[in-house]
Amino acid sequence: MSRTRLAGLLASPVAWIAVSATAVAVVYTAYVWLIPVAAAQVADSVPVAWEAQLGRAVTAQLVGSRRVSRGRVANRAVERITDRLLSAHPANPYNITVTIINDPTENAFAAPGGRIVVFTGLMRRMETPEQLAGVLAHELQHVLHRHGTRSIFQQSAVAVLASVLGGDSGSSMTAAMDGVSTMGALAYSRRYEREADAAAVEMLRRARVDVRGMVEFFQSVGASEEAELGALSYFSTHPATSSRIASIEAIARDHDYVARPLMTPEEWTAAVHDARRYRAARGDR
Amino acid sequence: MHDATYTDDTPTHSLKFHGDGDTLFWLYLKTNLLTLLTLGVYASWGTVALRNYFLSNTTFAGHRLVYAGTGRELFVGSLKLLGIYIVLAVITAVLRATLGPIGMLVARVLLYVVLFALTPFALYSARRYRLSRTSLAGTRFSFRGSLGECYRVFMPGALVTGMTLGLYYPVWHTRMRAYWLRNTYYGSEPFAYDGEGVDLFGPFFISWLLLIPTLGLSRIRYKAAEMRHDAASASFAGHRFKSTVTGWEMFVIALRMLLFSLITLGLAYPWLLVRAVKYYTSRLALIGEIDIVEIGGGVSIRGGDTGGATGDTLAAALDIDMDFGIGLQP
Repeated sequence: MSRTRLAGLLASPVAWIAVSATAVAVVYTAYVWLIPVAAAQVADSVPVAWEAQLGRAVTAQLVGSRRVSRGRVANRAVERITDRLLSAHPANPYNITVTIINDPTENAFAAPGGRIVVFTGLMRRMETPEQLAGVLAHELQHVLHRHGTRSIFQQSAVAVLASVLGGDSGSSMTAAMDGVSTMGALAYSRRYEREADAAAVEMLRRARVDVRGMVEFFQSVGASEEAELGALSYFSTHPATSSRIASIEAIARDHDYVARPLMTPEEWTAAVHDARRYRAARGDR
Repeated sequence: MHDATYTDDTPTHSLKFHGDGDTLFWLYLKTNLLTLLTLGVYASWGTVALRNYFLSNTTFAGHRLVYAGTGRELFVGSLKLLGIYIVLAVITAVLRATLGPIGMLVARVLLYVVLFALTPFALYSARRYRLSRTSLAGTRFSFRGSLGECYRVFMPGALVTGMTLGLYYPVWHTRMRAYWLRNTYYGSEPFAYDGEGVDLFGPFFISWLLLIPTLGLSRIRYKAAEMRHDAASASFAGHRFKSTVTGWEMFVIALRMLLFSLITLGLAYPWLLVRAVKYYTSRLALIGEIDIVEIGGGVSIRGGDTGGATGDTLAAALDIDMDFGIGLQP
């Protein structure tokens, strides 16, 4: 290409608009499609043993010095629920362990490799075992889909993308790109949450557990959460609760099945009560 | 394009650095120790001492460069910067208190926007300050550009460069260089620059394509080409500059700095830095005979406003790459 021609092109606003549009399209595609797909592929090739080790480390950090609930009735009840959920999922490569932690936090989480933690605060909020089953199914799906591992690779890929875009243009650009990666991480995790929700409903169906429990739980959570977040739910790691309920109900409606109760209400009350008693020594994980 | 109306016999004047690693080592030791003992207060004076050492040990055509900045100026500047920092911290705290965790994110975004918006100001102000405090053969340098024009050249260029994944950079770079150099004066004589993005686009595009495969190293080769191009496009009083740096040599220097610094836990740094500065100064030259005393008038003319040192400390805080426009970093 002759110098004059190139000079003409470089001076043409149309050319630069075209380049920007292409660049935006490329980055968008990489972000929305290429990176998640690549991260999933890489995550799938990570051995289960590595994930289990990572999961142990993550759990140890998040649980800290809180006490493990050793109540036998409580642990057996949770085991029953987990076994029922996994019964319809025979091809499970993980050694699933569910640990109850004595803590008023109303939460549960799944670490890579199969370690699931439920806080007694959450258990106390559950009126029926089907509600807990909904949460456990959701967390199990995070493990089975390797979301934790996938998000690690995704975050690194986004960080690399951000640094390539930012170049060596000083710290303000780098800082801006940091912000972009954070937003990206949030967007990806919302996608995983939606995936886990949909797969959880399917899991409940296959295990013949009443899906209404899951819906009821989200409805009770939604009332308190939504008031806070409102329009800024874009910045949270979970999709807005009302939209979660809507999508869960939509999926549930398509499936008509007869649910078998997990246990009697008395058995459940006994389990929750038992969970509040802890008999573990300090530092027991 | 670029005149080649000189033969190999045409005399050239290059910058010469006369410093040595031993002296620099003790200087670094002294300034770091004093900074530590005064809990950072001495840092401003330490910076001046270092700048003084580098500039006063650099000669051009037999004349020494003189740096007249004071630690007090820098210290006042960094105090002002501290004031700005406190204001930002207060705003962040207020946002976090009113909006919760979302407030943190909003504050962060706001901070980035503010930092980006201040970058041209920092570059402009730092350059004006440093040049006004530098003189050669009794005549001061100065920067006479307008802040408005700085923003007009920087902002759209930065945004378009970002939006095109960096491809617009050669155009943006040459425009900025033109702005910096044409407004830089030695006494009352300005520098000139006639470089154009089209001449840099070739080497830049290649380095851009090879960026990921070479893990960023292709940038070094481009930087050398850019320095050679910018020198050849720059002139002063009708005489062109010339740079003979190569990407390979720059890579070797950078690699040696990294390796030896690591091995000696940073102690070898002064010697490595002296070696690097000697390399870069010796490779930059002005073509032809020039009598700067005659051009400068030998009189300390204060061209334009000298400006405070706030921008200078801001530029340092933002870690912005700065140089005098002809490939030399003060």
